[in-house]
Amino acid sequence: MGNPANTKTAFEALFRKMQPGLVRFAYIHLRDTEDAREVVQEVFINIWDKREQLNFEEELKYYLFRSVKNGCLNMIKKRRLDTVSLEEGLTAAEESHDDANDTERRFKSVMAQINQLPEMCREIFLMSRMEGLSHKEIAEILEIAPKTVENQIGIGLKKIREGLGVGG
Amino acid sequence: MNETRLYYLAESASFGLLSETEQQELNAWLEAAPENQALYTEICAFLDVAGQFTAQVDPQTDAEWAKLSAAIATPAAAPVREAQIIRPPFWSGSRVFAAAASIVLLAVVGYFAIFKGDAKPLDAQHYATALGETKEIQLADGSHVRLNGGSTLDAAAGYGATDRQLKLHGEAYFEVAKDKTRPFIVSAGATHAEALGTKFNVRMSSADQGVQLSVTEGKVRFSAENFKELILTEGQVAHFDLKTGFLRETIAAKDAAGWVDKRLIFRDAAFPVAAEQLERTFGVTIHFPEHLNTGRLTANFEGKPLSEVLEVLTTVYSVKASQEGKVVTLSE
Repeated sequence: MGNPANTKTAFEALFRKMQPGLVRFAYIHLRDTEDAREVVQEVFINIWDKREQLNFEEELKYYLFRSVKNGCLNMIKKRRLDTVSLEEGLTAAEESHDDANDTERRFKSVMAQINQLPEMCREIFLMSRMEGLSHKEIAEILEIAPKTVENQIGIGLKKIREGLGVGG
Repeated sequence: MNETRLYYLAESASFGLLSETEQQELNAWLEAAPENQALYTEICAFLDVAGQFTAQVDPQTDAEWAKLSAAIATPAAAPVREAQIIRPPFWSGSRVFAAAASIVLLAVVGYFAIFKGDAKPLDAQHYATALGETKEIQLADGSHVRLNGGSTLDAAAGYGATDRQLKLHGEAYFEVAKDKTRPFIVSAGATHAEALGTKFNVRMSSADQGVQLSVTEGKVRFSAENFKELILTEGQVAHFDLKTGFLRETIAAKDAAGWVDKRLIFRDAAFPVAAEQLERTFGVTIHFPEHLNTGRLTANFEGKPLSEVLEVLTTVYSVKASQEGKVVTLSE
């Protein structure tokens, strides 16, 4: 990759472009902003160590998302993340906003429905809601068929609506 | 239509991702029955809410990059020999040069923005303040502007005829006279802030060309070419730069625009941006060591004189401060 100073400039540009989306992506899995930033940080350190073998090009985007996902799964394993206590925390947070206005309440109840979606469905649905990821890109990142992405998004939305008690 | 399919189409439509045949399919279904339209509207409302799921995530890209940059610069983390990064000294230290360059650039850009078209340049208005000075400006349409120190504001020729366009370099607080027929637009750097009847503050940093918008009343559309725009409402603050695009900030809008009431409040602000703000307020030029380029500042300098501000800075960053006339130097 030639001149080391240029390499670092390219690396910084890549980091600045991709880091926010990757942190949000990691957050979908970890539900903790600090952990999400940490996983993304590790992935970039890894990339830097491997920079001789990588092309800073479009393919790297998918590689980055996949690496972040693996990092998240490892972190969940490592910390034996207790989903039960997490859900409780979430409920507590919802209740504490009981006096909030209608919009806030609506937001919380939709969030609660999203959080109850099956893991894959939830992941795909939220990835699609994040800026800059088309269905084709989601399919590439998760290494699944584009048709599956379409179906899961449809199913997710349907479940959310039913969960809110307005379906039918 | 299959329900799952409909949800999928609605989702895609919200991003403008529908193919032509899919769009036709959706349209046909919408026109088939009025309740379909209602259902569709309701689905779009869910999608809006779901889109906010990750709004609570603050990636802190600047701080994270500072950490990463430090980590990869140490030899231990860089096994390849070529990896030893040698940054030229004062790589970003010659701030004065960078600032001068950006002013020249802005002057050129500003010139074309103001004088393009048929309007006569004679009618264009130019306002400027020195560091430490503020200026109250009453515009022809009844809108009011308070221009902070070290800033310029240009009203293009023909201001108010069909629209109200202003070009800002620096910082200003706007109280916009309501007029739905003539949009009120402030351009700063790459961004445009379009007021929808309102009060707001725009701050542009010559350190990084970033622009911060804080809305204290009403609603403002904050946009830049090639970026997804944001609509800010009362109390909200967002920052834009070309690297990160638009990011919402957690500081309260009245604090972000605190200079209007002589309050200087920083919350996890980039140090160069904070320094520029201090320069505007106290009418001094601040020189600081290179490592502070990545520094962050959280402080409340409400009503404090410069001497006390400097005392805080020297403690927070373990630097020495000296002042000669209008020049403050922070050194290690």
